[in-house]
Amino acid sequence: MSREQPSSAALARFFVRAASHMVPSGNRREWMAEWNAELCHVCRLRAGDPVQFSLGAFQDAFWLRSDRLRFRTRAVRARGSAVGCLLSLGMLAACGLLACLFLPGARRALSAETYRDPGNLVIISSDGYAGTQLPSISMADYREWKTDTSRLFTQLAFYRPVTGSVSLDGNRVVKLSMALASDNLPRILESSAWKARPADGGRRQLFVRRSSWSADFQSDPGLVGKTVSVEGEPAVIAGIVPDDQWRLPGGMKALLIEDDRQLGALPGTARGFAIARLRHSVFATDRKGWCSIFEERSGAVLQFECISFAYIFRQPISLFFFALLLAIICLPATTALRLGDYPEREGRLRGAINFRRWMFLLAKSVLVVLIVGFWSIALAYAFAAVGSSVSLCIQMGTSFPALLFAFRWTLHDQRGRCPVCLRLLSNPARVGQPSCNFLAWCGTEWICRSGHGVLHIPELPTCWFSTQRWLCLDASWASLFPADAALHGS
Amino acid sequence: MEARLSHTAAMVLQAIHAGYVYGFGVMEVTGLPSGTVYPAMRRLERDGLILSKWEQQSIADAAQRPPRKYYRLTRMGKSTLEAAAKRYPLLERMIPQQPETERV
Repeated sequence: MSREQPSSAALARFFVRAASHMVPSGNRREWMAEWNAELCHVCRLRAGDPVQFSLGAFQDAFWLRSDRLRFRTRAVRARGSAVGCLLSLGMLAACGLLACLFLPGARRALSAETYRDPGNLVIISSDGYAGTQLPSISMADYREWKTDTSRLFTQLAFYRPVTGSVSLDGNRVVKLSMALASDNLPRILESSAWKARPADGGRRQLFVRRSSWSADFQSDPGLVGKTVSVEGEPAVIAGIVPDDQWRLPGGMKALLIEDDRQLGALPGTARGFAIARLRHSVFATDRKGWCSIFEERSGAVLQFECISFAYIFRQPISLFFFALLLAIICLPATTALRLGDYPEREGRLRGAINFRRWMFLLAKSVLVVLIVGFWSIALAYAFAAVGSSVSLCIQMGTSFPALLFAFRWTLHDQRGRCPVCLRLLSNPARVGQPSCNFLAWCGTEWICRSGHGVLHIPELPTCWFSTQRWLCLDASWASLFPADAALHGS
Repeated sequence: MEARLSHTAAMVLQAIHAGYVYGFGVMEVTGLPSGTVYPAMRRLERDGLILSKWEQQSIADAAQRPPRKYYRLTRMGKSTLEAAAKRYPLLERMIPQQPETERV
């Protein structure tokens, strides 16, 4: 016996250790300590066979493992709850909003209008809306308008995107995409960020975009006021403009302000962008954001479009609402709008329950619209500028199908929920045969886990059973359902 | 709502109530194997009918053994046991109270 005891104790400890591998890792240490302590007690008292005692550890470990599995299953089931559904959608919407806030392009797309009175600040294009993103106005046109369009515009400015090298301290050269701009451009924009310093001895002024200041000038704190050489000519760094204030088309990193004499050196065929401020009295309907100028030149009538910055800034939101409208119109063509028949039997579908059900549908719809809205804007404007045709195509191409899919899912999800507790129905059972459809009922039955009712979905819609039908279960069915049914019940 | 206990669970609960606070003690007094008693105690603890605690290290050191885990009834456990006693009238006679002198 005395020789048997140590060997059986060692074997028992081995069994306990082996069984411990079945225990969930979070509980393992404590579980081992308890079993080892009890085993030690059994061995000391010689109260029983340690090996036989330790074999129980396997059952104990197995129970803990299966209980964890049951817990996970319950957690998965809880996902079918209305609150869980709204929380998930809310989280997706919040993530979308965060994506919009963190991606600079998307943040600009959602930000308020940057320049003062953007309804009267227009970009002139000779190629419709597409021309607002490409240089479409020739220098010759600009010169002509400057003298004879004072009745249309209070101010007119011009800039031409070029690539130039900026030499700093004589040795460091930075290659920048910049715009050669007329000196009245900062005044037209009327933004504090674009305030130019008084011209210093006829030197040109260079405004640098903040992102370029960080990337190309290593966030040099003393950059403003320095004299640099742009393509061999001296220029003073006049300011660093925040990216949010930099909404001019052309994708430039810097703006070189030149006076009329310097700008006059450009050939007449050089193309650029023309920005103007409209006279209120001339364009009473400027709020629509788009107007045309017709000009007769050498016997031919030329048409120029004036597209307001307000119109361009509103594009992301306007386009999204257009996609939303389109999706709502197209929805009936892709899915049935009816949610099914929910008869108010035995007073169970009372007003409050019905109200909650419709509010849940409304909340889901609002959340999916927000999700699609935020994510489509984040996707479209993360890498493309506001107003560019690429961003418009991406936004329209993503938001319309996504909204259509989201609305379909919203309706599908609503149909698959118990109208009382709003949890997803479960345990689908096929009943009947399609061949007997006209003789007997055939379709799928879903049941509420809390015992509120059964949903009948016909296999083939008929004139007497055209849509899914909800059947309320009365109290006599309660014994078949778990006791927590009352928690989710009416 | 009070949980309905199986006979085994009721026996384990009664044993703990009677003063057999360690797993092995419950095994001895109920005659149930370790593979039944420990999972039953886990289930009772999960359902909030009993609570487990580790005994103080000083007590274990004095007895020259590792500290053991002991169990005691919660308020809900006591009320559940009262309900179970009505259902299983012989429970109290099967597992009488442990004499004070033998209590650990």
